[in-house]
Amino acid sequence: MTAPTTTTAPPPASRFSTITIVAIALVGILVLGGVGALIGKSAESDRKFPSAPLPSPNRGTNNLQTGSRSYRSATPRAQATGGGPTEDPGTDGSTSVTLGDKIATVSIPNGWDVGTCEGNTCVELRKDSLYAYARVYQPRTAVDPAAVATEMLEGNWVKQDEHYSDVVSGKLISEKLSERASVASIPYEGFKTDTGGVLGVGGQVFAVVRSDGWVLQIQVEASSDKSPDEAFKSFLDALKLPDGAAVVILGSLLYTFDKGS
Amino acid sequence: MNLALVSTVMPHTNRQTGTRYRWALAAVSVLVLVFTLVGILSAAVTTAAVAVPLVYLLYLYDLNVWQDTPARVVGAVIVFTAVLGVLVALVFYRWAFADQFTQLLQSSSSQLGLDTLPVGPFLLFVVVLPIVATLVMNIGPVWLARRPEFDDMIDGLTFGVAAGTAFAATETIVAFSSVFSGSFRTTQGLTTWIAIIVSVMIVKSFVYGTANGIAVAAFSGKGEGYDGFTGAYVANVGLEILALVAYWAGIRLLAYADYGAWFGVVWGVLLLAALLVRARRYLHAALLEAALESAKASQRPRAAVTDGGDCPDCEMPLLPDAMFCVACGQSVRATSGQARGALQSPGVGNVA
Repeated sequence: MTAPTTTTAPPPASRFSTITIVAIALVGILVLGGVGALIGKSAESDRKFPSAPLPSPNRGTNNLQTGSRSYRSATPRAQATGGGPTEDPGTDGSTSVTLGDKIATVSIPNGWDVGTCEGNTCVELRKDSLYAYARVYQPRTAVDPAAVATEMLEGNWVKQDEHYSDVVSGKLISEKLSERASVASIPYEGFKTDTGGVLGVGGQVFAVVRSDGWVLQIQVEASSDKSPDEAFKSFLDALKLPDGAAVVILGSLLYTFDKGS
Repeated sequence: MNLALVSTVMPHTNRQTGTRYRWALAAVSVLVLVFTLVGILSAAVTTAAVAVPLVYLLYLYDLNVWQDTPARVVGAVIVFTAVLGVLVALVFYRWAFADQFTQLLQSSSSQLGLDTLPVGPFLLFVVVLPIVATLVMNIGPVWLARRPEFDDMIDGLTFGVAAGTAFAATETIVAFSSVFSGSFRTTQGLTTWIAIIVSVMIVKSFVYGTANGIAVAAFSGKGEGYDGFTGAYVANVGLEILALVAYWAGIRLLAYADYGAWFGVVWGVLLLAALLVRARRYLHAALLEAALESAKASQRPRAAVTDGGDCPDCEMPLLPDAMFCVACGQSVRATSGQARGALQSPGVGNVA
């Protein structure tokens, strides 16, 4: 190997040593991280859930009839469709989808996107920042609605789903829906994320168990690009009467599941 | 094929100076991951977004490539691109297309999977946004590369990378700004966040930077002056758009899969590797052609920096007036035209 000969222009001289460079980078990152943490701290949610709405068929019936449309109108169409999931268009552009063999029927207001899964067991609905998913199944052994709702929150529906993070939940509420069915629900809020971005989400999981063993699981969720608190407020607004966007969906599911075959 | 990341996107480095930026990148990466692991997401996202641009600014200042004089100009171009990045991100993620962004993100976690993919929002964020981003990322560096003191290809590459990483940083902060409203500290769902932080900190930053660097390097072109809006520049802008579209298409589609964020990291790394190969081949070819043209004309290359010696990287002998090592491809003219001008002034260098 030859010895270096004259070099007219060496590579650019560094102003700093390696340690200085690393130290400056670390201090810079710590300062920026501190600023980010402070912004996060100052805007931190107080995470206090307002009392979550728990619809019942009776409440739903009375209230929904005063709403922009009645979910009762979905029932005859649902009965006409037989086994589902099937979509039945109404005269006002709305549709209904029957889950299972008339186990439950969801009435879908105009403008919602609808998806159904194979096996006649589930339906997914979306409009703007609102999302709803419902599923019916019949377990081999009797289940408790509180246990089902808890499993929904702690399991793959929310906390074990890799898209959710920083999820906090409110109190579990259980009550009898009717002589035939009981319902349990848990409100929650947190973040929904993938590599492209993050949204605040707020919603509630519902588990309804009928005396004949059938289970109806429902998740209703709103999202917000501002915060989980804002998302939860949107969720509550969606359940407000008379024009809440999710009232018809939730009410029709609960009513038809309670009254269904 | 050489995939060396630092020596490609920081072309003014050699083995010695390159190592310090590798250490700096490693150190800030560890710190960002610590923020993530302890669950301070607001700090993790902020630092992940700015980690690469911060080290890049340090590199520009430390090596003093342009002899201080235009530091404000270079800084202004980076800030200009960052400000445009904020505006573009706000328009797409918050103002005009917030509902479409919501649909896209809600859909990726759908129980029904890919069947629920909203086509309109997908095209908006996977095709339209990368096109807009590419155009915005080129404005500042192209303006800078037209100036006589910055018309070398190596300068164009540097400006392009700086602008690309600045845009990526601001887009990330806007897209993830909701985390500032969450808990100060969380312990739930961090596995996915580690993948996301790695993705936006390293992979996205360098994909944007490298793709933009290639395009602006093509604008600068070979030889004296800059090439301008040639077919090669248009082709490389097309390549940049294609790279960003491919990156986002992969990220968005893989989000529907289990462990989608981690597969997204893998996809981004593969894409980045392809871009690095392209960037290095492009630079080497340009430098080789410039050297051969000078040799053919029996002229000393304008960029000549050495009368011989050994390559600082592989230690193989260098030919007189070599601008790069013929053995490993390492650039040994790792300095700016302005610095060369100073060195070639009477009494400073010994250029014949």
